[in-house]
Amino acid sequence: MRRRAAAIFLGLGSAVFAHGETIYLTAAASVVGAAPFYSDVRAFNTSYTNTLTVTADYRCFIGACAASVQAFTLVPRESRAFDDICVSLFSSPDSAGAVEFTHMGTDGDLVVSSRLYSTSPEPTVGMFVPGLESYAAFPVTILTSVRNGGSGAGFRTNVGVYNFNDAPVSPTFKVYDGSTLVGTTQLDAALLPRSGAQINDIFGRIGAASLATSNAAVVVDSGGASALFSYAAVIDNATTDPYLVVGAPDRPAPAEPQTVIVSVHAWDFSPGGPVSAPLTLTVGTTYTLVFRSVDAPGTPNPRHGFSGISDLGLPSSDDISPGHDFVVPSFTPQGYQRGSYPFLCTRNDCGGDPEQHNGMIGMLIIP
Amino acid sequence: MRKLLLLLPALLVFAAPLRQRADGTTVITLPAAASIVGGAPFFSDVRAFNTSYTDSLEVTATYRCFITCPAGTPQITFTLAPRESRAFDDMVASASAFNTPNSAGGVEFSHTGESEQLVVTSRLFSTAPTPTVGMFIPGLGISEAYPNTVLTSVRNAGPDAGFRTNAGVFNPGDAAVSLTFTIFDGGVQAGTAVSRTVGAHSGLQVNLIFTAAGVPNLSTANAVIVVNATGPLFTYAAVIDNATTDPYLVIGAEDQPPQPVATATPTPPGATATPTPPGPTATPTPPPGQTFTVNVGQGGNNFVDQVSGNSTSTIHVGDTIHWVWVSGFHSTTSGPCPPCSGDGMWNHGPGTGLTFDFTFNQAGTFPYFCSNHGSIMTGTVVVNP
Repeated sequence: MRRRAAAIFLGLGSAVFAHGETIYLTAAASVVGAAPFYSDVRAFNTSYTNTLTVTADYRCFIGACAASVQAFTLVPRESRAFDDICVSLFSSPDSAGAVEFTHMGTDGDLVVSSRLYSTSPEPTVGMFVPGLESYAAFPVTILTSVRNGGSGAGFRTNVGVYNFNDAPVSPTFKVYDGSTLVGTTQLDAALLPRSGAQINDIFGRIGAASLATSNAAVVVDSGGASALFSYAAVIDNATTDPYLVVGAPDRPAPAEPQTVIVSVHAWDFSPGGPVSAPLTLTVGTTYTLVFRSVDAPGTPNPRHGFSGISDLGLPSSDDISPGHDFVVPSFTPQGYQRGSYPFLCTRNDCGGDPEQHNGMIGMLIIP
Repeated sequence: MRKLLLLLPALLVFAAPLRQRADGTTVITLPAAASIVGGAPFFSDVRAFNTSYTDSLEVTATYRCFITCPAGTPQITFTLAPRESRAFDDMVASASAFNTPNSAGGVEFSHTGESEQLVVTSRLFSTAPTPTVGMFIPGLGISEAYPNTVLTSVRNAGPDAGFRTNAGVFNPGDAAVSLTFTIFDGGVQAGTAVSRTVGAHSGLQVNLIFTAAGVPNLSTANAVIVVNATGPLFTYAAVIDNATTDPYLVIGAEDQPPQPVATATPTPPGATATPTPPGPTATPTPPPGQTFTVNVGQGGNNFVDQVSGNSTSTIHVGDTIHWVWVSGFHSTTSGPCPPCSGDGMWNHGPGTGLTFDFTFNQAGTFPYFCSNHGSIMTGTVVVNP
């Protein structure tokens, strides 16, 4: 079931119908120098009966990049080793990027895994980088277990993204220490289709290089519906040992505060009722509520009121009159507040018809 | 086509791994967590994050200890405010969490919020060498447990001090599960399959899986471990560089059910092609042998063979030594002492209340020691042809 759903989901973002299943290795490297890193990749055919032809497309985005697409065949149950894959398969030393492995077999036929490791210190320290199916990409992701600074030589964190879509994306990176927003950053340029980027030392990038934290989180938001892969490589500065955090699905940040104008007249709150539709507010969205008298000129007693809703902490007013709005500056419905809440006009003489006025009952709904 | 379009929104909901149980409870499982001191110290720093911007989340964390466990099932309940990331450093031993030092197991985090409201991550790390080397261990949803899994990128031995691999499972179900670990190297089964049974909501780890399979000296950088079970399991391999102690964690990917391979497979094209494995049905029968018991910690810091009455066991090829921890906090670690650094043939513990079996498939004299007590607590196994 998951595989089928994932396959259809993949079809929305990439050319699944043309290329079959694709497994994404979001970070691979062959870098020499003071901080050497290499990727040993393994590709495994889970089928007991079918040979699998795999196309490996190196989507290099760091260093001396050259396009390279290589094909290979896996017999049933074969595990193929590609040590230092950027060099051994793609002939691209001193580069880094992602690799897309595409095959025409059944979903789940191909398993890709890798170890990205440093040879400093010798012999090696490294981290597991899994091959991911497209369902592991999301429009908004959260990276937890992120660190910076701290005792000893401390930690540093590099954050990366891979855009497997056919359109560019401009993601936003928000760094939190606990629940406190430390800083926000973006890439220097839009992330091109089927390309990636890595922000080295993201705490330095946001001007928080000296922050010591062992409980940070990074939210990566594509800014729209485009799903992205995200990761954080968290590195112990003393041992150079890294671990890779793969982005988990997160929720979109609440929208900016919205202003809702409730037009009040004899005998209706609009929206609210009883004539107009109820006032419906969404959990998590912050509202500014403006109650405004809009009685036609000549209406008797054009002064209205609002009973407030004590269960929601909304205050009352008995003076909503022409030129005198009643404003609730900020109200954010919470999940536990879901329900229907009636409210009233607090005055009994507005509009000049007490019997009509008695029915001036509005309704606020939090679905 | 129209039907497909109508189905798309519904399918998108399920595109991410499913996590929620039928009763509305969501359980996120950390398949491995530890707080071990001694020669090979390991600790788990865990983070729990509430993705909601509006709703608090009450979480119950249950420690499913399966290595050196005290009585009872430690459990804590905590509330995460919207967008809160809660840090549980050394969660297993921390007095504010499970307060169970010198143990290891899995952790189940349950809640009744929305299915993806809780994100759990962790780093399991060693402080030898200082300051740390470690690996990422993710919290996993129930849909990520499978009856058949494959662990790739597995290593053993090799250049320098080489690698070792510990293989583990966690059973999220309500019934015991039987399983086998089968190692393949270059498409060919290596050693014998290792069979175990894991209880409900419990786990197990086979340290030195290559040794347990009878191929401790196999040098490979491209091994595969197939785990076939009678129920869904989370599986993992911790692959450790012996020189730096640096581990990386491979999470089991879904594999296809085992099938016999009826005919020979054609040679694949390319110079690096690997032959086809014969399949799990080709597991050879282990050699017959007897089992001899050695008590660990009998009368103090001693290994006591129950036949000889001293620290030397004399057996034959194919026989098994069955170590039983009767008191104290000890390990059985193969290798001469001094230098007391271990030779990788076997290593179990340190801990209390353990048992450990090792079958000797080659003749020779095999010294061993306790990593907690070094040269004051040693033993020898003499294996005759």
